[in-house]
Amino acid sequence: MFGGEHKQTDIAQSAIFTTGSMRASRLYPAILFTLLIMYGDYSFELSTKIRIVSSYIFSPFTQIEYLAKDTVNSFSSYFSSQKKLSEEINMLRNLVRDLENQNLVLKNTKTSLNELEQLFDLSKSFQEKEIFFGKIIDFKKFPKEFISVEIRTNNITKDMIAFNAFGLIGVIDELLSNSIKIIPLHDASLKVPAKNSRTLENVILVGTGEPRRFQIEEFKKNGDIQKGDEIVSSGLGGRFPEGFSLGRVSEIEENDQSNFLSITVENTFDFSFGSKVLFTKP
Amino acid sequence: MNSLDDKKPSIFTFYFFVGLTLIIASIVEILLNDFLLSRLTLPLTLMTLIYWNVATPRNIGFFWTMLSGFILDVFLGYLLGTHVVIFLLASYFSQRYFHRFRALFRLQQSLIVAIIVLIYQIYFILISNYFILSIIFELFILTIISSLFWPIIYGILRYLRIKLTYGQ
Repeated sequence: MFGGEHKQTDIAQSAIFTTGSMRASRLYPAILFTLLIMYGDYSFELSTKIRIVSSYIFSPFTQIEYLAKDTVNSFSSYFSSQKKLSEEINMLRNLVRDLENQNLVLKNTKTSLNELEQLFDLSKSFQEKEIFFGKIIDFKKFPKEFISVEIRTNNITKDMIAFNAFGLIGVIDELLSNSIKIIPLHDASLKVPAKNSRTLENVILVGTGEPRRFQIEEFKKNGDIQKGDEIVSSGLGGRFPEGFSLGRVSEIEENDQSNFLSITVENTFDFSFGSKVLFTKP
Repeated sequence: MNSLDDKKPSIFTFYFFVGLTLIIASIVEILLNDFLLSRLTLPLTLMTLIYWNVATPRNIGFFWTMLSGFILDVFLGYLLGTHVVIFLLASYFSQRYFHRFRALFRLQQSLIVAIIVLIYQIYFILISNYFILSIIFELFILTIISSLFWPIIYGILRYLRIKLTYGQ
Protein backbone atom coordinates (compact mmCIF):
# COMPACT_ATOMS: atom_id res chain seq x y z
CA MET A 1 0.00 0.00 0.00
CA PHE A 2 2.81 2.38 0.90
CA GLY A 3 5.46 1.09 -1.46
CA GLY A 4 5.80 1.77 -5.14
CA GLU A 5 4.56 5.31 -4.91
CA HIS A 6 7.95 6.90 -5.29
CA LYS A 7 8.77 5.17 -8.51
CA GLN A 8 6.86 7.87 -10.21
CA THR A 9 9.37 10.46 -9.02
CA ASP A 10 10.97 10.29 -12.48
CA ILE A 11 7.71 11.44 -14.01
CA ALA A 12 7.24 13.92 -11.24
CA GLN A 13 10.63 15.49 -11.83
CA SER A 14 9.23 17.19 -14.88
CA ALA A 15 6.07 18.16 -13.07
CA ILE A 16 7.68 19.40 -9.91
CA PHE A 17 8.02 22.95 -11.16
CA THR A 18 4.51 23.18 -12.51
CA THR A 19 1.55 24.39 -10.54
CA GLY A 20 -2.01 23.04 -10.46
CA SER A 21 -4.83 24.51 -12.44
CA MET A 22 -6.33 26.04 -9.32
CA ARG A 23 -6.52 29.80 -9.62
CA ALA A 24 -6.88 32.28 -6.79
CA SER A 25 -9.93 33.76 -8.52
CA ARG A 26 -11.82 30.58 -7.62
CA LEU A 27 -10.88 30.99 -4.00
CA TYR A 28 -12.02 34.59 -3.54
CA PRO A 29 -15.83 34.02 -3.75
CA ALA A 30 -15.58 31.18 -1.21
CA ILE A 31 -13.49 33.30 1.16
CA LEU A 32 -15.92 36.22 0.70
CA PHE A 33 -18.89 33.97 1.40
CA THR A 34 -17.17 32.61 4.53
CA LEU A 35 -16.38 36.11 5.77
CA LEU A 36 -20.05 37.03 5.28
CA ILE A 37 -21.07 34.00 7.32
CA MET A 38 -18.53 34.98 10.00
CA TYR A 39 -19.95 38.50 10.10
CA GLY A 40 -23.49 37.08 10.29
CA ASP A 41 -22.49 34.83 13.17
CA TYR A 42 -20.69 37.66 14.97
CA SER A 43 -23.65 40.02 14.59
CA PHE A 44 -26.65 37.72 14.88
CA GLU A 45 -25.19 34.68 16.73
CA LEU A 46 -26.17 32.35 13.90
CA SER A 47 -24.02 29.53 15.27
CA THR A 48 -25.88 29.57 18.59
CA LYS A 49 -29.16 29.07 16.75
CA ILE A 50 -27.60 26.34 14.58
CA ARG A 51 -26.18 24.63 17.69
CA ILE A 52 -29.61 24.68 19.38
CA VAL A 53 -31.31 23.25 16.28
CA SER A 54 -28.58 20.64 15.74
CA SER A 55 -28.61 19.58 19.38
CA TYR A 56 -32.38 19.16 19.04
CA ILE A 57 -31.99 17.16 15.80
CA PHE A 58 -29.14 15.00 17.09
CA SER A 59 -30.57 14.49 20.57
CA PRO A 60 -31.70 10.90 19.74
CA PHE A 61 -28.08 10.07 18.80
CA THR A 62 -26.67 11.54 21.99
CA GLN A 63 -29.13 9.42 23.94
CA ILE A 64 -27.91 6.23 22.25
CA GLU A 65 -25.01 5.89 24.70
CA TYR A 66 -27.30 6.10 27.72
CA LEU A 67 -29.92 3.90 26.10
CA ALA A 68 -27.29 1.24 25.38
CA LYS A 69 -25.98 1.40 28.95
CA ASP A 70 -29.50 1.11 30.37
CA THR A 71 -30.30 -1.82 28.09
CA VAL A 72 -27.12 -3.69 29.04
CA ASN A 73 -27.75 -3.02 32.73
CA SER A 74 -31.37 -4.17 32.44
CA PHE A 75 -30.38 -7.38 30.69
CA SER A 76 -27.57 -8.20 33.05
CA SER A 77 -29.63 -7.65 36.18
CA TYR A 78 -32.99 -8.95 35.01
CA PHE A 79 -32.27 -12.65 35.49
CA SER A 80 -30.39 -12.22 38.73
CA SER A 81 -31.17 -11.24 42.27
CA GLN A 82 -29.43 -7.96 41.53
CA LYS A 83 -32.67 -6.72 40.02
CA LYS A 84 -34.57 -7.13 43.27
CA LEU A 85 -31.74 -5.59 45.23
CA SER A 86 -31.39 -2.64 42.90
CA GLU A 87 -35.17 -2.06 43.03
CA GLU A 88 -35.06 -2.14 46.80
CA ILE A 89 -32.09 0.26 46.84
CA ASN A 90 -33.92 2.61 44.49
CA MET A 91 -37.04 2.44 46.65
CA LEU A 92 -35.00 3.18 49.79
CA ARG A 93 -33.20 6.01 48.01
CA ASN A 94 -36.55 7.54 47.11
CA LEU A 95 -37.69 7.10 50.70
CA VAL A 96 -34.54 8.80 52.01
CA ARG A 97 -35.04 11.65 49.54
CA ASP A 98 -38.66 12.09 50.66
CA LEU A 99 -37.61 12.07 54.31
CA GLU A 100 -34.88 14.62 53.60
CA ASN A 101 -37.45 16.84 51.92
CA GLN A 102 -39.81 16.47 54.88
CA ASN A 103 -36.95 17.27 57.25
CA LEU A 104 -36.17 20.40 55.27
CA VAL A 105 -39.82 21.51 55.38
CA LEU A 106 -39.96 20.90 59.14
CA LYS A 107 -36.72 22.82 59.67
CA ASN A 108 -38.12 25.75 57.70
CA THR A 109 -41.36 25.63 59.72
CA LYS A 110 -39.37 25.55 62.96
CA THR A 111 -37.30 28.58 61.89
CA SER A 112 -40.47 30.47 60.93
CA LEU A 113 -42.12 29.60 64.23
CA ASN A 114 -39.05 30.73 66.19
CA GLU A 115 -39.00 33.94 64.26
CA LEU A 116 -42.72 34.54 64.88
CA GLU A 117 -42.26 33.74 68.58
CA GLN A 118 -39.48 36.31 68.84
CA LEU A 119 -41.57 38.86 66.97
CA PHE A 120 -44.57 38.25 69.25
CA ASP A 121 -42.31 38.64 72.30
CA LEU A 122 -41.14 41.89 70.80
CA SER A 123 -44.71 43.01 70.12
CA LYS A 124 -45.55 42.71 73.84
CA SER A 125 -43.43 45.81 74.41
CA PHE A 126 -45.70 47.78 72.08
CA GLN A 127 -48.66 47.93 74.42
CA GLU A 128 -51.60 49.96 73.10
CA LYS A 129 -49.82 50.41 69.79
CA GLU A 130 -51.04 49.02 66.53
CA ILE A 131 -48.72 46.49 64.98
CA PHE A 132 -48.73 45.09 61.45
CA PHE A 133 -46.92 42.21 59.87
CA GLY A 134 -45.41 41.97 56.41
CA LYS A 135 -43.73 39.23 54.45
CA ILE A 136 -40.24 39.76 52.98
CA ILE A 137 -40.41 39.21 49.22
CA ASP A 138 -37.13 40.63 47.97
CA PHE A 139 -33.72 41.77 49.16
CA LYS A 140 -31.45 43.99 47.07
CA LYS A 141 -27.98 45.29 47.81
CA PHE A 142 -27.43 47.42 44.74
CA PRO A 143 -27.62 50.36 44.09
CA LYS A 144 -29.07 50.80 47.55
CA GLU A 145 -29.61 48.14 50.20
CA PHE A 146 -33.29 47.54 50.88
CA ILE A 147 -35.87 44.84 51.45
CA SER A 148 -39.28 44.70 49.81
CA VAL A 149 -42.07 43.61 52.11
CA GLU A 150 -45.49 42.47 50.97
CA ILE A 151 -48.35 43.96 53.02
CA ARG A 152 -52.08 43.32 53.12
CA THR A 153 -53.23 46.46 54.88
CA ASN A 154 -53.52 50.12 54.04
CA ASN A 155 -52.93 51.24 57.61
CA ILE A 156 -49.14 51.31 57.35
CA THR A 157 -47.79 54.85 57.21
CA LYS A 158 -44.37 56.18 56.25
CA ASP A 159 -43.49 57.23 59.81
CA MET A 160 -43.60 53.60 61.03
CA ILE A 161 -40.46 51.65 61.79
CA ALA A 162 -39.55 48.05 61.04
CA PHE A 163 -38.51 45.24 63.36
CA ASN A 164 -37.45 41.67 62.74
CA ALA A 165 -36.62 38.93 65.25
CA PHE A 166 -33.41 40.79 66.20
CA GLY A 167 -35.13 44.08 66.96
CA LEU A 168 -35.15 47.51 65.32
CA ILE A 169 -33.76 47.10 61.80
CA GLY A 170 -34.89 49.92 59.54
CA VAL A 171 -37.30 52.57 58.38
CA ILE A 172 -39.82 52.76 55.57
CA ASP A 173 -38.32 54.34 52.48
CA GLU A 174 -41.15 53.96 49.99
CA LEU A 175 -44.81 52.94 50.25
CA LEU A 176 -46.13 51.13 47.20
CA SER A 177 -49.62 49.74 46.57
CA ASN A 178 -49.02 46.23 47.94
CA SER A 179 -45.48 46.42 49.20
CA ILE A 180 -43.05 48.55 51.12
CA LYS A 181 -39.36 49.27 50.65
CA ILE A 182 -37.39 49.30 53.89
CA ILE A 183 -33.88 50.70 54.18
CA PRO A 184 -31.62 49.49 56.99
CA LEU A 185 -30.60 51.54 60.01
CA HIS A 186 -27.00 51.36 58.79
CA ASP A 187 -27.95 53.28 55.62
CA ALA A 188 -25.66 56.32 55.33
CA SER A 189 -28.65 58.68 55.10
CA LEU A 190 -30.06 57.76 58.53
CA LYS A 191 -29.33 59.34 61.90
CA VAL A 192 -30.70 57.73 65.09
CA PRO A 193 -30.90 59.61 68.39
CA ALA A 194 -29.40 57.28 70.98
CA LYS A 195 -27.79 57.17 74.38
CA ASN A 196 -25.04 55.32 76.13
CA SER A 197 -26.82 52.94 78.53
CA ARG A 198 -23.90 53.19 81.01
CA THR A 199 -23.54 56.97 81.19
CA LEU A 200 -26.99 57.93 79.81
CA GLU A 201 -25.20 60.50 77.61
CA ASN A 202 -27.14 61.34 74.45
CA VAL A 203 -25.43 60.68 71.14
CA ILE A 204 -26.34 60.64 67.46
CA LEU A 205 -25.76 57.36 65.67
CA VAL A 206 -25.06 57.66 61.94
CA GLY A 207 -25.22 54.79 59.46
CA THR A 208 -21.99 53.93 57.63
CA GLY A 209 -23.56 52.13 54.69
CA GLU A 210 -21.79 48.94 55.81
CA PRO A 211 -23.97 46.21 57.33
CA ARG A 212 -24.17 46.32 61.13
CA ARG A 213 -21.76 49.28 61.51
CA PHE A 214 -22.51 52.79 62.78
CA GLN A 215 -20.52 55.85 63.79
CA ILE A 216 -21.23 58.16 66.71
CA GLU A 217 -21.39 61.72 65.43
CA GLU A 218 -19.28 64.45 67.01
CA PHE A 219 -18.40 62.81 70.30
CA LYS A 220 -15.98 65.07 72.18
CA LYS A 221 -12.56 63.80 73.29
CA ASN A 222 -13.25 64.51 76.95
CA GLY A 223 -16.53 62.50 76.87
CA ASP A 224 -16.95 59.28 78.82
CA ILE A 225 -17.10 56.28 76.55
CA GLN A 226 -15.56 52.82 76.62
CA LYS A 227 -15.31 49.86 74.32
CA GLY A 228 -18.26 47.53 74.92
CA ASP A 229 -20.68 50.29 76.03
CA GLU A 230 -24.20 49.48 74.90
CA ILE A 231 -25.90 52.10 72.78
CA VAL A 232 -29.71 52.17 72.90
CA SER A 233 -32.25 54.34 71.13
CA SER A 234 -33.12 57.44 73.18
CA GLY A 235 -36.51 58.14 71.61
CA LEU A 236 -35.65 61.83 71.24
CA GLY A 237 -37.36 63.44 68.29
CA GLY A 238 -40.07 60.79 68.25
CA ARG A 239 -38.79 59.13 65.08
CA PHE A 240 -37.56 55.97 66.86
CA PRO A 241 -38.91 54.32 70.03
CA GLU A 242 -36.89 54.46 73.23
CA GLY A 243 -34.89 51.66 74.75
CA PHE A 244 -34.04 49.43 71.79
CA SER A 245 -30.50 48.17 71.61
CA LEU A 246 -28.62 49.46 68.57
CA GLY A 247 -25.21 47.90 69.21
CA ARG A 248 -22.03 48.10 71.24
CA VAL A 249 -18.99 50.36 70.94
CA SER A 250 -16.34 48.35 69.09
CA GLU A 251 -13.66 50.91 68.18
CA ILE A 252 -12.56 54.26 69.56
CA GLU A 253 -10.01 56.21 67.54
CA GLU A 254 -8.40 59.49 68.43
CA ASN A 255 -7.23 61.93 65.79
CA ASP A 256 -4.81 64.75 66.71
CA GLN A 257 -6.26 67.04 64.08
CA SER A 258 -9.84 66.76 65.35
CA ASN A 259 -11.61 67.63 68.59
CA PHE A 260 -13.86 64.62 68.24
CA LEU A 261 -13.38 60.91 68.66
CA SER A 262 -14.13 58.49 65.85
CA ILE A 263 -16.34 55.85 67.47
CA THR A 264 -17.63 52.75 65.74
CA VAL A 265 -20.69 50.91 67.01
CA GLU A 266 -21.44 47.42 65.81
CA ASN A 267 -24.36 45.07 66.27
CA THR A 268 -25.20 41.57 65.16
CA PHE A 269 -28.56 42.34 63.59
CA ASP A 270 -29.04 40.81 60.18
CA PHE A 271 -31.12 43.23 58.14
CA SER A 272 -32.35 40.61 55.68
CA PHE A 273 -32.92 37.88 58.28
CA GLY A 274 -36.11 35.81 58.30
CA SER A 275 -39.31 36.12 56.37
CA LYS A 276 -41.48 38.42 58.51
CA VAL A 277 -41.24 42.09 59.44
CA LEU A 278 -43.23 43.88 62.10
CA PHE A 279 -44.29 47.52 61.70
CA THR A 280 -45.36 49.91 64.39
CA LYS A 281 -45.37 53.60 65.19
CA PRO A 282 -42.52 54.77 67.40
CA MET B 1 -15.41 -4.43 -21.72
CA ASN B 2 -12.92 -5.22 -19.06
CA SER B 3 -11.09 -1.93 -19.14
CA LEU B 4 -10.56 0.16 -16.03
CA ASP B 5 -12.73 2.92 -17.47
CA ASP B 6 -15.78 0.64 -17.40
CA LYS B 7 -15.38 0.11 -13.67
CA LYS B 8 -14.84 3.75 -12.79
CA PRO B 9 -17.62 5.14 -10.62
CA SER B 10 -19.53 8.21 -11.71
CA ILE B 11 -18.13 11.57 -10.73
CA PHE B 12 -21.09 12.02 -8.34
CA THR B 13 -20.37 8.77 -6.48
CA PHE B 14 -16.76 9.80 -6.08
CA TYR B 15 -17.71 13.33 -5.11
CA PHE B 16 -20.07 12.08 -2.39
CA PHE B 17 -17.53 9.53 -1.21
CA VAL B 18 -15.03 12.36 -0.67
CA GLY B 19 -17.69 14.30 1.25
CA LEU B 20 -18.49 11.25 3.34
CA THR B 21 -14.84 10.74 4.34
CA LEU B 22 -14.54 14.41 5.24
CA ILE B 23 -17.70 14.31 7.38
CA ILE B 24 -16.53 11.11 9.09
CA ALA B 25 -13.13 12.73 9.74
CA SER B 26 -14.94 15.76 11.22
CA ILE B 27 -17.06 13.56 13.50
CA VAL B 28 -13.99 11.59 14.64
CA GLU B 29 -12.15 14.86 15.27
CA ILE B 30 -15.06 16.17 17.37
CA LEU B 31 -15.22 12.92 19.36
CA LEU B 32 -11.43 12.94 19.81
CA ASN B 33 -11.63 16.53 21.00
CA ASP B 34 -13.95 15.44 23.83
CA PHE B 35 -11.72 12.47 24.56
CA LEU B 36 -8.36 14.29 24.49
CA LEU B 37 -9.48 17.02 26.92
CA SER B 38 -6.96 19.36 25.35
CA ARG B 39 -7.47 22.84 24.03
CA LEU B 40 -6.21 21.87 20.58
CA THR B 41 -7.45 19.02 18.41
CA LEU B 42 -5.91 16.37 16.22
CA PRO B 43 -6.67 17.86 12.77
CA LEU B 44 -7.90 14.71 11.02
CA THR B 45 -10.25 16.69 8.78
CA LEU B 46 -7.43 18.94 7.62
CA MET B 47 -5.24 15.94 6.78
CA THR B 48 -8.12 14.20 4.97
CA LEU B 49 -8.71 17.40 3.05
CA ILE B 50 -5.04 17.66 2.10
CA TYR B 51 -5.08 14.05 0.89
CA TRP B 52 -8.09 14.52 -1.36
CA ASN B 53 -6.80 17.80 -2.75
CA VAL B 54 -3.47 16.24 -3.56
CA ALA B 55 -4.85 12.91 -4.81
CA THR B 56 -7.72 14.12 -6.98
CA PRO B 57 -7.45 17.91 -7.28
CA ARG B 58 -9.84 18.12 -10.24
CA ASN B 59 -12.69 16.40 -8.42
CA ILE B 60 -12.57 18.39 -5.23
CA GLY B 61 -14.43 21.66 -5.09
CA PHE B 62 -14.87 23.91 -2.14
CA PHE B 63 -18.31 22.62 -1.10
CA TRP B 64 -17.17 19.73 1.10
CA THR B 65 -14.28 21.83 2.40
CA MET B 66 -16.73 24.45 3.59
CA LEU B 67 -19.27 21.95 4.91
CA SER B 68 -16.71 20.07 7.00
CA GLY B 69 -15.34 23.38 8.26
CA PHE B 70 -18.82 24.53 9.29
CA ILE B 71 -19.48 21.20 11.03
CA LEU B 72 -16.29 21.64 13.09
CA ASP B 73 -17.16 25.26 13.87
CA VAL B 74 -20.63 24.35 15.07
CA PHE B 75 -19.63 21.38 17.19
CA LEU B 76 -16.33 22.70 18.56
CA GLY B 77 -17.90 26.03 19.48
CA TYR B 78 -15.99 28.40 17.20
CA LEU B 79 -17.28 31.41 15.31
CA LEU B 80 -18.84 30.12 12.08
CA GLY B 81 -16.23 30.20 9.32
CA THR B 82 -13.14 29.95 11.53
CA HIS B 83 -12.25 26.47 10.31
CA VAL B 84 -13.59 27.16 6.84
CA VAL B 85 -11.12 29.97 6.12
CA ILE B 86 -8.08 27.87 6.96
CA PHE B 87 -9.52 24.83 5.15
CA LEU B 88 -10.09 26.91 2.03
CA LEU B 89 -6.52 28.18 2.13
CA ALA B 90 -5.20 24.67 2.74
CA SER B 91 -7.30 23.38 -0.19
CA TYR B 92 -6.11 26.16 -2.44
CA PHE B 93 -2.42 25.61 -1.71
CA SER B 94 -2.77 21.80 -1.86
CA GLN B 95 -4.43 22.01 -5.28
CA ARG B 96 -1.91 24.57 -6.48
CA TYR B 97 1.16 22.59 -5.48
CA PHE B 98 -0.11 19.01 -5.61
CA HIS B 99 2.50 18.03 -8.25
CA ARG B 100 5.34 18.91 -5.92
CA PHE B 101 3.67 17.32 -2.92
CA ARG B 102 3.03 14.04 -4.72
CA ALA B 103 6.65 13.80 -5.77
CA LEU B 104 7.89 13.89 -2.18
CA PHE B 105 8.74 10.86 -0.06
CA ARG B 106 6.23 9.95 2.62
CA LEU B 107 8.58 11.23 5.32
CA GLN B 108 8.95 14.54 3.52
CA GLN B 109 5.18 14.70 3.11
CA SER B 110 4.79 14.09 6.84
CA LEU B 111 7.11 17.00 7.51
CA ILE B 112 5.12 19.30 5.22
CA VAL B 113 1.87 18.15 6.88
CA ALA B 114 3.43 18.78 10.30
CA ILE B 115 4.27 22.35 9.27
CA ILE B 116 0.72 22.89 7.96
CA VAL B 117 -0.70 21.45 11.20
CA LEU B 118 1.62 23.69 13.23
CA ILE B 119 0.37 26.78 11.34
CA TYR B 120 -3.22 25.53 11.76
CA GLN B 121 -2.81 25.07 15.53
CA ILE B 122 -1.06 28.45 15.95
CA TYR B 123 -4.00 30.04 14.08
CA PHE B 124 -6.40 28.60 16.67
CA ILE B 125 -4.19 29.61 19.60
CA LEU B 126 -4.13 33.17 18.23
CA ILE B 127 -7.90 33.16 17.67
CA SER B 128 -8.74 31.85 21.12
CA ASN B 129 -6.19 34.15 22.86
CA TYR B 130 -5.11 31.19 24.94
CA PHE B 131 -1.48 31.79 25.73
CA ILE B 132 -0.25 29.54 28.50
CA LEU B 133 2.87 27.42 28.76
CA SER B 134 1.02 24.09 28.55
CA ILE B 135 -0.49 25.04 25.17
CA ILE B 136 3.00 25.09 23.62
CA PHE B 137 3.52 21.56 24.89
CA GLU B 138 0.12 20.54 23.46
CA LEU B 139 1.00 22.28 20.19
CA PHE B 140 4.20 20.34 19.65
CA ILE B 141 2.82 17.01 20.84
CA LEU B 142 -0.24 17.26 18.57
CA THR B 143 1.91 18.36 15.64
CA ILE B 144 4.19 15.35 16.08
CA ILE B 145 1.20 13.01 16.50
CA SER B 146 -0.40 14.51 13.37
CA SER B 147 2.74 13.93 11.32
CA LEU B 148 2.76 10.32 12.53
CA PHE B 149 -0.90 10.00 11.57
CA TRP B 150 -0.32 11.27 8.03
CA PRO B 151 1.03 7.97 6.56
CA ILE B 152 -1.91 6.11 8.15
CA ILE B 153 -4.51 8.53 6.79
CA TYR B 154 -2.75 8.56 3.44
CA GLY B 155 -2.70 4.76 3.33
CA ILE B 156 -6.34 4.29 4.36
CA LEU B 157 -7.73 6.94 2.00
CA ARG B 158 -5.56 5.74 -0.87
CA TYR B 159 -6.75 2.19 -0.32
CA LEU B 160 -10.37 3.35 -0.25
CA ARG B 161 -9.89 5.51 -3.34
CA ILE B 162 -8.38 2.64 -5.32
CA LYS B 163 -11.12 0.27 -4.12
CA LEU B 164 -13.81 2.73 -5.19
CA THR B 165 -12.16 3.62 -8.48
CA TYR B 166 -10.97 0.22 -9.67
CA GLY B 167 -12.76 -2.19 -7.35
CA GLN B 168 -9.48 -3.95 -6.57
